[in-house]
Amino acid sequence: MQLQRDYVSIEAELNRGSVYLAGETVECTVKFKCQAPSTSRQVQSLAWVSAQIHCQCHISESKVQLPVSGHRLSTEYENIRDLNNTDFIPSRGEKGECVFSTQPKILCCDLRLLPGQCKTFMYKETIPKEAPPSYRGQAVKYSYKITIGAQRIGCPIKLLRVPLRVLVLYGLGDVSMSHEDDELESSNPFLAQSKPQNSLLDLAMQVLMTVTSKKSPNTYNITNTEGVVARFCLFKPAFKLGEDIIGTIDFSQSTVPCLQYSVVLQSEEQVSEECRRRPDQTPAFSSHGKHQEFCLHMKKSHMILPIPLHVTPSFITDIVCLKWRLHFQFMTSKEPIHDHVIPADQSESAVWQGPESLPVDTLVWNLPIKILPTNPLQAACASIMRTNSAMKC
Amino acid sequence: MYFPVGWPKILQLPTECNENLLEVVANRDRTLFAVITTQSIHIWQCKPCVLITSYRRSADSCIVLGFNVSGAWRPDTSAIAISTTGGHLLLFRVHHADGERMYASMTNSSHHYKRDTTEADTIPVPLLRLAYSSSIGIPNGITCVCCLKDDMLVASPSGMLHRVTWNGNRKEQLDISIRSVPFSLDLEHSRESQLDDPHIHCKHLRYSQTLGLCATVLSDGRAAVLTTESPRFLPKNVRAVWAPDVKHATCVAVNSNFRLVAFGLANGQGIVFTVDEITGALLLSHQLTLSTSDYPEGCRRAGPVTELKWTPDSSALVLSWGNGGFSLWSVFGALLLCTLGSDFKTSFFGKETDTLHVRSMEWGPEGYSLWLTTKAKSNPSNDQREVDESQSIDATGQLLQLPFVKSALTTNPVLTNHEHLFLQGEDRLYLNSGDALVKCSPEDEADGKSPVRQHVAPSSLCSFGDNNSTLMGSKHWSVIQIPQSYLASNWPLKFAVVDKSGHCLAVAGRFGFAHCALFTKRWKLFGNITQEKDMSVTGGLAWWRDFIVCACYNHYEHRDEIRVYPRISNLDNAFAFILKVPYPVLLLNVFKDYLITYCSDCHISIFRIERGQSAATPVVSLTWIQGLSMVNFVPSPTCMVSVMLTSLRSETAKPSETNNKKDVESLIINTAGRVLMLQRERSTSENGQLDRRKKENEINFCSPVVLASAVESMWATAKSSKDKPHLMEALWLGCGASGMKVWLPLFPQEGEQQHHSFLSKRIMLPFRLRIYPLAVLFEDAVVLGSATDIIHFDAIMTPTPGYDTSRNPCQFLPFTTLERTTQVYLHHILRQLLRRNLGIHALQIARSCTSLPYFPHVLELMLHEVLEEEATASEPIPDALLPRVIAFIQEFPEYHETVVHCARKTEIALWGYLFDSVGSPQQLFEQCLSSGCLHTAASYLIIIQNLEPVRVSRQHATLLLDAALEKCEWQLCRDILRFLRSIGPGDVEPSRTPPPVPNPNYYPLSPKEARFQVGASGGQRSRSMSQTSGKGGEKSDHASLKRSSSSKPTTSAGASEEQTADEYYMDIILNRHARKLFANNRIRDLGMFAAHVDFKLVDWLIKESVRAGKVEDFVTAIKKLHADFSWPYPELGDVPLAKTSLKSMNFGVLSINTSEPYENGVPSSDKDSGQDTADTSLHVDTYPTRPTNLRIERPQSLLSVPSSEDMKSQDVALKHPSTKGSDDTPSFGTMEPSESSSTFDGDVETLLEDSFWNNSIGIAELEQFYLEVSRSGPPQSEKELRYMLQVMMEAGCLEWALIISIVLRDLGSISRVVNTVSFTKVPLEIMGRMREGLSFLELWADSECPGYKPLMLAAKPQTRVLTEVVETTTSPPSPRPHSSASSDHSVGHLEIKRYNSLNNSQIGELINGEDEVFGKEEEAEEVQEGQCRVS
Repeated sequence: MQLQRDYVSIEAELNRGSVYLAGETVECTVKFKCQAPSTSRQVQSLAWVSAQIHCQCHISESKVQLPVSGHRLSTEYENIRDLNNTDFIPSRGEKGECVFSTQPKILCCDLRLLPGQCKTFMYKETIPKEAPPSYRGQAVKYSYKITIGAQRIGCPIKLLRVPLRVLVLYGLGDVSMSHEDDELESSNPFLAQSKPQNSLLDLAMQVLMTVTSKKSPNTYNITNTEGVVARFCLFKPAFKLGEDIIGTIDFSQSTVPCLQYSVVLQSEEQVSEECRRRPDQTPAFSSHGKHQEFCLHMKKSHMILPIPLHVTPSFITDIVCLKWRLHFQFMTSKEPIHDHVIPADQSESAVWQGPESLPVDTLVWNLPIKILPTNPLQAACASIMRTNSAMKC
Repeated sequence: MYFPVGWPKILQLPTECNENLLEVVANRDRTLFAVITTQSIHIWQCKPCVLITSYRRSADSCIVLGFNVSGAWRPDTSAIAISTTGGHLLLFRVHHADGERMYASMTNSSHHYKRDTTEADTIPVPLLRLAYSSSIGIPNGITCVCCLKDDMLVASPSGMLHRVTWNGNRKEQLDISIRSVPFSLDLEHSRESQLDDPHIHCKHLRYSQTLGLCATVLSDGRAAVLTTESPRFLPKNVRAVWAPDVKHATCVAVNSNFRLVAFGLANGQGIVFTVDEITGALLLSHQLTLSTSDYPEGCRRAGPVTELKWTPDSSALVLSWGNGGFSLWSVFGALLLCTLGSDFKTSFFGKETDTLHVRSMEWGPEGYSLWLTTKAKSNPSNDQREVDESQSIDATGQLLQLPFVKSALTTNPVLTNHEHLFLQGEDRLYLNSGDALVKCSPEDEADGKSPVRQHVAPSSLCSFGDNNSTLMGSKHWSVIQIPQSYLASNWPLKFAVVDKSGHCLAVAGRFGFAHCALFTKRWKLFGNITQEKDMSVTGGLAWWRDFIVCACYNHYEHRDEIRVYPRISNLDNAFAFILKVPYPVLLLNVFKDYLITYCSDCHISIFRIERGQSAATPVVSLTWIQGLSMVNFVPSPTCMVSVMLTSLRSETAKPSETNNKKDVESLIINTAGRVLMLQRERSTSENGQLDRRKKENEINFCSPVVLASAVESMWATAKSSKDKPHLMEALWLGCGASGMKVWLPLFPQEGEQQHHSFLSKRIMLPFRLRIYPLAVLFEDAVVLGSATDIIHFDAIMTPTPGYDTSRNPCQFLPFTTLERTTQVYLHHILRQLLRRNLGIHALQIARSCTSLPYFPHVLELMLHEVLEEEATASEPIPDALLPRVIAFIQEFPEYHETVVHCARKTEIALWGYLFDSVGSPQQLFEQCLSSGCLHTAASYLIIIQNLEPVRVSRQHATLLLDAALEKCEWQLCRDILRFLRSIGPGDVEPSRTPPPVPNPNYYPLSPKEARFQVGASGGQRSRSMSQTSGKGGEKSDHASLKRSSSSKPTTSAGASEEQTADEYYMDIILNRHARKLFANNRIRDLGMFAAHVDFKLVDWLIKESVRAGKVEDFVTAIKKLHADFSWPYPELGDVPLAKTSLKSMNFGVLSINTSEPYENGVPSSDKDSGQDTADTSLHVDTYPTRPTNLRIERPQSLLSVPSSEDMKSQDVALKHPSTKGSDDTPSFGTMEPSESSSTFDGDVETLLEDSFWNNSIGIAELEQFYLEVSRSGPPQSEKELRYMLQVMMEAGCLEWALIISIVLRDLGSISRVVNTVSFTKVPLEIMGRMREGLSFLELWADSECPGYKPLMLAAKPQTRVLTEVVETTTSPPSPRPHSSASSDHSVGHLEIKRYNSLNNSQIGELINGEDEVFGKEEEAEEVQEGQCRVS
């Protein structure tokens, strides 16, 4: 039986939940505590502790083929990897390749803790705006983690991982540039702190608000060869995560009876041409919510389709491109449903009976929509991702 | 509860039949709906929503027998009865063709399309045939048809109630004549009478089999219930009981589960009675009336109530009005929805929308939809002008289906559902996840399987936190769609449950169930579809840890069972624990490790749930502990609303006395709204012996006690908290219209020795709510609820030309969504306790909650409410609560803040009343001032300004300014100055405010943002003073100061007469403060001060350069700068490494004369090397000041690169002088730091090779990085320092300029300063002080802070230049001014003495005079050098 050694427990906690916009600064509190009986006077020490954010890209070999040159590890990593196995390689043991990583930051060196003593450090790092979003697709998966590496003298490095989710909002770059210019203007440094800080988050929320609250109802007349099936109206083209997609459907002017319609929220994952395993590779679709309604005797109806908070908004990287669409399916009858007949004879009653069966036809239609991120705080509220993580060292 | 979602859907009726829509009637299980028009009957299936068949009566028939009026289904749906205007009852047979179905989709085989199935393929649409069977003529016509169990009761205008069988026969012997029925007020003692008027008949009848009564509305507007002694409602001993005081009833609805009879009245109100179990009397429960505060017109404009319908689960009532619109009420009368509100009635643009005129309503299955028929637009005269298409369609009325969601509590009131906002819709679940509300203690987590977020910021719950973004997050609903694969065959959803953590869900529909863990985002369904089809959940679902407990009916074995399935394994009966039960379970609940079930035989069973340890797959077992018969307490089995086990007792010991482990202490049940508590009998010692023989686990319960009546829902928690025992031990009751009640424990006080049995141990406090409660957060002292919110989509529509109404799916109702509502209740509780003289308990509760983020808000709310109430009371209040409330708030540190915030949000007219009780605002102001709450004091300033003459407010403002300056509250200073300036001189004559007109600004002021706006925008100022509106950048600062320098206060007396004494006085204050800061070396504060109060710093400094600007002790000044700007001291080499092995050798050189001081000096550097030294405090939070980006590079290069990089900042300077120093200044050539550091580098290299390198590659380079990080100061500080340097240079404060340059380690700046000295006219004393200061610094660097040595060495040339300048200027022309020289002298002595005290005797001998000191110093250094060379 191995003797229970005294150890230092390392706890990392994301201060603001687990979801961040690219461009935001992640703050992570790292707490060290010497777990040893207070009777022992021996100081526990860690040689160094370092932290880094990295993004692992995991690809499905059957679908994606990476070009040889790109998407390799940076040379520094190669070097380090070659040197010695006690080195800090944040992505060690992770699947996939590290497509992006911030520079490692040293939290402390030669940390010495008396039994029971506790120390807290703050790790801050900015996720660059051009980073890929967290995404779990069929061909590609991008996942982010903060890796905290710690080493005792004479022991192998131990790694502590805190997962995080990154949302990317495009179009932020230009706006924030002008924002930085503002900052330069005020020259008295003593006023810098009192100035209300227009954070990237506020800015992003403004951008999101402007984009997604733009309302332009679009009506679509859906017809097949025989005539009008329905009229669909979507009130806006861009949605935030977690929002409801609201659309109305109107059958009152229809000439073709429609038994049922369904609307599926679908993401379309297209591997970029250079990375396709096969040239004829088609995009992969996955469904994230469905509205279905039997509508034969419906005059006007509507659909409320929630966008799950956990999906990834539209994005594009060198490897993959994700788009969103509404996939419609109309099941129309090829025969008209017979009418209610009012008998000419006043003394006759009339019975109308629905048909026992109907020859049906399926009509498919896709309507592209834009899905944008939402306030990361909101996404974090609903996410069940752990915001903390702990290990012994 | 029930909330509509979306728009109503409009169903298509056969357009050919131009008949008015009349009624929609559902069959008993609500799968089929009969829509009755004047001439036809249409039968719809609910899901899929489709028309099955229509029967159109012949025109002749209509002429002979009359047009349709209303219809009724036979309970087994085999027939429909239609009453006609001609007094006939037509019976139609509904023939179910077995196995035959309709609307099956037929895909042409020639198509290669994927065969798609419609809903009609998965859920069969039965082929129904409607055939006329017979008709019965009812003499005198028909007013109403009511279905009894087997027969129909047909009321006619003659006052007869005819009994008609479904075969079309009348049973005349069973007819009842309303006139022969004795009417009374109850069934026991009251006097009976018979109806006097022969024309009275029954207008409306509703039968309840459970209650055994038939509620009726008489034609004269009175209302009653008819009862018989027979269970089949045979006319044996028929008696009627009046609904007291009902005169104008229009319709009636009966709620069997809660024993309620609701009548609609002609005045638009509803009135609800409970049926007394014993006497049979109708007791008034509550009224359904719109409050005039929310609906100014109340019910008056609504017209008579036309229809009332209870939801299928009896938990809500829909009520429609004659003039249009409808409303939704909870069982006990809380208003959930009313379409008469202005937002419903008007469109986005204020245009009045069409009112929804409801003709008839019927709830769909499980209440997920409300079927509505609207009245035809029968007044063409009015609408003649706008004849458009939609109107012509509307001529017959429309058939609508309005979707609803409901709280999961309505069908499944288990404990965990009470802790979340959890609603279920037809195909989706709504969970308010914003505040996952989870603070699971580790023991609660089921084997670590549920990945629960540990930390939830309580601020996210708080609806008035300043962070709106968090708030938004928590308001958001997670919508979880139920997979079509489950729903398709098991619609509709019956039960839903969420677990304690809010992450695991389970739902049950017609068959089987499905569950989902939100973290996997995956649903688990029965793998074996037969298993799914073989069971139906009948009595509810619950989570116990990682298991789902369900009470179900086994279709295969035909028996009732309780099953427990594990979440982790596949959903399969093989993993389930199955327990047979003799009767159907109606309700279940879980508390801790107990399962409690309530069966249809009115028995409660308690089981213990245990988790099996050994098995590989998780297994649980249920052990029956005991049964309890509730027959005596439950009027009928279905009356049981909820059962729960709790840890509450009616008498509560002090929280410290009970052990934290909660056990079952009581059983609380809600039967038909009445809450009964059965407390556990805690046996005394003797009985304990006896009980031992009984079953060990059995819990003895005392006989029940009624706690409350008219209760809709109850909340108690299984969690416990030591900090908030009051809140955690409370029982919450939702009571509909009368709000909520809390049953609060009153713990005995400290001093109380024995419990007085006559003192109550608990108290029931009622309070009103503005929200409908769905979840109580015990620890957060918050109630959560939901409400209907409205989105106006017509705002989107109008931009398109011609306002196409066809796009908007419904012109009657706007789009509705759900919103989460929150209410803090703490202030209600506190106030009521205070009112009852239980202040000590209020204080205990409040103290336990002070950590809540909105606690100050609670106090404020309480004060505000009491103030508003009592100050606006028309009559004097005999026992005013306000003084008590104030005394209470005084117990908390937020007292002053609360009072002033409350005052600022109240009308000025009420201030008098408030401050009469609180004390004068001046007094409060002074208290704030003395306690240092400057911001609060500032708030009082506004009050004082409004109540007192200007002189007083100015005086107070000045006091505050002084204090704010003292405390470095710069923002506040700026505000006060603005305030002072805005008061202006024009108002000096005492204009006695309180202004007669309340200041329009008073309300929207939020204390944080606009603190001084009243003053600033008050219009009282005569001139605009603050043209430099704050962010006076450096440039504008400088520009303006040059111009205005002439008109400085001292000289400005004549310049402008407007420049009054106040202005002058303010300037004096500011100048005085600036001088104080400057003299105390507080350069950073001076910078802040100048920046924030728009102080003309440079001008002032020019004047002060020879006064306050002189620096008498350079060392102290430098230390002060380091401290204030948190600027790190420079370091020599690698101290942390040296500490271990290199120390003796490395610093041996230095230690010749200053060995101990150096040891003392080490701790001063532990700011940088931090962790290894002097960490005595246990919880030190260390944040590296600036962890800059560091890149790990190859270790070989690391050693050389970082050290050279390392040097860059300070050691570039170091190398340069060492060469220079050797040839230029041999006398000072003692510079071992350079040499030692260079040798040191070499040594390190070798040493590292030896000792550290092999151990760990990382350490050396990482430490280097770390050191570098810690060495360069924070960038913000650097900016500030550079700014101050520039200011000092400009103002000619060269001493300071020099010091700052040194701190910045900026040789360029140092030489610039020295150049300024040598090339411009600088007073000699300044030069002298600078030279001396530098000398002292050198000394100091040598002795205490070796890190500065390289720099001082590098600055040697400058020092020399300075010395030369001083010498040249002193020796020939002008001798030093004596006064200053002597003062310098004395300072020098002092300084050396201090050194002396620090060091040992070596320097102590040198106290002769400065020149000598230096001489000796040189010698000493020479010695050093010599030694160094030797080594």
